[in-house]
Amino acid sequence: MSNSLNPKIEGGIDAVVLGGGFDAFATSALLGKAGLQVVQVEAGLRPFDHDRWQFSEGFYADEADDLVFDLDADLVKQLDLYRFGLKFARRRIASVYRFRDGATLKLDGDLTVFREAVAGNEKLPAETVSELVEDIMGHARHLRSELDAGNPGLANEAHRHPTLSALMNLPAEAVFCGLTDNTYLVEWLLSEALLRRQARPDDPQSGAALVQNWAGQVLGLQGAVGYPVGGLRSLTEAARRAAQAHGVNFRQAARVDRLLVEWDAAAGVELEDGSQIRAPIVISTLPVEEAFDRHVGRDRLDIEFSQALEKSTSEAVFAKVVFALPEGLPDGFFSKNADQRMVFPISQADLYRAHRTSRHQAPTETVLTEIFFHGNEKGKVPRRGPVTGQAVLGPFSLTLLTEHPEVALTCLTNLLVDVEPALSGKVTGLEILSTGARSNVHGELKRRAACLTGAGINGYYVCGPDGDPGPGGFWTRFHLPMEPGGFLLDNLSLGSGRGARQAAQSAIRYYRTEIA
Amino acid sequence: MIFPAQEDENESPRPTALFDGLASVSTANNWTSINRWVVPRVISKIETEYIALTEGAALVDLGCLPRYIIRGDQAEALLRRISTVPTADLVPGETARGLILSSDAQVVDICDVLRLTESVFMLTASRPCERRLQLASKGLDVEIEQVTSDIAALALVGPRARGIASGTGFDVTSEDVARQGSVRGVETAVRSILFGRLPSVEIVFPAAEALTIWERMNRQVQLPVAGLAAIEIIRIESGVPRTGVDFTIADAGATSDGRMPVELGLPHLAPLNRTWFNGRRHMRALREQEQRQGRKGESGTRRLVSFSVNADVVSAGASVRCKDSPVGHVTSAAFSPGLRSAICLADIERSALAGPFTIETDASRRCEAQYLLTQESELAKEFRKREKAATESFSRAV
Repeated sequence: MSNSLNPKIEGGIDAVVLGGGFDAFATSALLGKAGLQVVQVEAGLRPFDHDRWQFSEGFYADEADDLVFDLDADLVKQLDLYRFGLKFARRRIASVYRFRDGATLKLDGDLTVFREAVAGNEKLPAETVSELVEDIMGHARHLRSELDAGNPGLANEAHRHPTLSALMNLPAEAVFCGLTDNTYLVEWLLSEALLRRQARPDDPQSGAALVQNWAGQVLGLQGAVGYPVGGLRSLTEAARRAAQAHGVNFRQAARVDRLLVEWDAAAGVELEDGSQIRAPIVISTLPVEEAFDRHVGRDRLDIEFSQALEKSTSEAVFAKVVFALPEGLPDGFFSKNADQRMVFPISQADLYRAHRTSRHQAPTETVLTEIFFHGNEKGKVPRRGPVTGQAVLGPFSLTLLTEHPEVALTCLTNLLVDVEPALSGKVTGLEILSTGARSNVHGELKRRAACLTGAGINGYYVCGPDGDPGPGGFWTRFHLPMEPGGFLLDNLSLGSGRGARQAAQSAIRYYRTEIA
Repeated sequence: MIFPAQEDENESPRPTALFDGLASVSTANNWTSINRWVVPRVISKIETEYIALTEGAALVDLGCLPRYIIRGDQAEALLRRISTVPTADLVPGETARGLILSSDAQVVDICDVLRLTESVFMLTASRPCERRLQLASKGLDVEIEQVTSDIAALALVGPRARGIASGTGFDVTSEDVARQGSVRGVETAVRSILFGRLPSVEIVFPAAEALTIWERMNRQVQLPVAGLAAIEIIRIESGVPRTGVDFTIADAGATSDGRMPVELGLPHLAPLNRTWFNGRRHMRALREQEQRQGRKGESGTRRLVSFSVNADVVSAGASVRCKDSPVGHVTSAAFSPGLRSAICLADIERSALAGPFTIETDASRRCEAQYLLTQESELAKEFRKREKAATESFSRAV
């Protein structure tokens, strides 16, 4: 609504991009590169103005501080992001899985050489395990190719492959227990599938999460985990530089009130101050609630379309925690854990119990946990001196975690001390950075398909977190008031960039066929 | 206003508010069920009822049609979303007809909306649509109340309906606007409606007072009552498709063999230049796709058309042939005493619209079928003419 005496109407623009995250910069850059006049509208004053703060004396928490599970190789190539500063500290991070009885499984970050990794491991029968992993990897590869093509229909293929059919339709615990009777393998698969997920091991179709997680690709390596220098912030920064280089015009501190729709086609956006930016293409990288319900209006969306956007209302969340070790890591511990991701799998019974008890009481120590030390320099863990790290652990009830965030912090401290008693009393500045969890795969794929249609409005594309359900670094975020950060940046999409690339491609095609 | 398909008769249907009155005059005692309400199939004799409907007036119980009162600041937005009725253009008291469409522009139902006040509406559908209303109202400031069992609805149908209604105290001062009043202490709402091609007056009043109003009507004019079979003839003569009979109901999750408005001969009920409604974007996308491909005409591959057949009996399901090739089938049929021939609605291929047609009346006999001009086909024709003129004028301007 207009609250200005002389609202301005701007024209001569080909495309408006909404948002201030990686997807937004990447989309703007691709459109700019194709020769379109692009304006990118961000709600914040400047990029990243709220997502970094000091959580302990000399240590900084970073909202964008996450591992990369999926990065669209075509996007990186098309924008030449390396030229704009993207640099990986670790191209593939080794993972150490520590089971409850002390047994460990170490993978060097390349699942394609899984057979070699488990050779000689007496807990896991190499031949059986490798065949199983290779089978699931094959299905995951297929899903990625479908996601790349913008038409994920893996469920339609399921009837042809018994393993895929089971993974796509059955609860994770039923599938994994059906595939193997090796308890280590079951626990490992459960942790690979359900870490950062709302799903319980007995939830229908929760097995599909494994296929989705392994469909990720970093630097051409399937199922790998990477870490850019500076964390995910550097990825976003590289995309922003690319957008600047391609002549994108940025508007900060501008809040969009609504999408302008004329004859079922996008005609630009109206800002909260009443001014309009008119353009035949609008790409939103915001969450669906904002992109559709608020900017288009729920009463102007097809009923079945709104239904496809519905999200599950599970309370189960994972907490992302940052912590600092001012005195650094003990020598022995450093050599074993400094450059790798530690995962603590638990049994399906414990995981189920964690889900159940988290609803009513403080969670026990039996939670799925992932710990990664990235050092205060974001990418390099110093042998001597202060170290920063992050952990993801859960599931917890969101309500419980909001009221008693200390339970997650206690769980993490106890776990670290269990692994290395010398860390007792050395962990400081623990703080919950954000909370959230991904919903079920089928729902995400359905939402993605819906987002790609832009609600049937010509020239409107949505590629925010919900339009890119690959195994990327993002997860659904919940607002959790905290001090000193105070709030979370809710439009920072950490998707793989695949959705952004596809939206930009569609927009360019539309521009050339219908507009130019 | 149409009745949907009948149901399995073992469903133990409920009596409508006017059931006792209907039962007291029914000599045929022939009943069926619709939406789990008892509905008379024949009251006395089909032909007598038909003549009363077409030459004078007859009473019809509309108690089986689901009705919803929708209130709230966004009631208009909800109705605009759920149906093609031009809700925003209605003044209080005014009624308009429309379609309920799915997102892929297939017809779910035929409905009408009466605007009671600025923010209160009554939606009348042919089948219950609570689930659709519930989905559509998520996030909107509206209150929905199902009032089917709380009210009685009686229609006076026929050319003399308005005069008789006035004579019995139910005055309809305007053809467009409903009038609320009180008859012998009973709150009533009276509105003009179209029952197929016949002018009608609908009287809505509290279910508890159903028999008071029924007796008053009967004492003053002794009107005949019409059952479903006679109404069915009027419906086919008017070319109005019947939900669940002439088309499959398109609904979420169904592997749809549904039909778009234009395929049912109802393009005038979902014009693209009307304000946004569910399914409009899909319709527009199809239209644009056809234009890009240089195809003239309208979307869809099927058409529901009305035929007059030179025979006494035509059965639903009978094959329709065009130059000896099967091109479709009869979806509903009846013998029209007025036209003295069998009439039917048939679902045929769009490519065969030029005809000529024959319809199988039994295993060994085929009869010629001619297009029947109906109220709906005339409205559709007029709509297309206006749309074409608008497009041409726009093209000239450009």
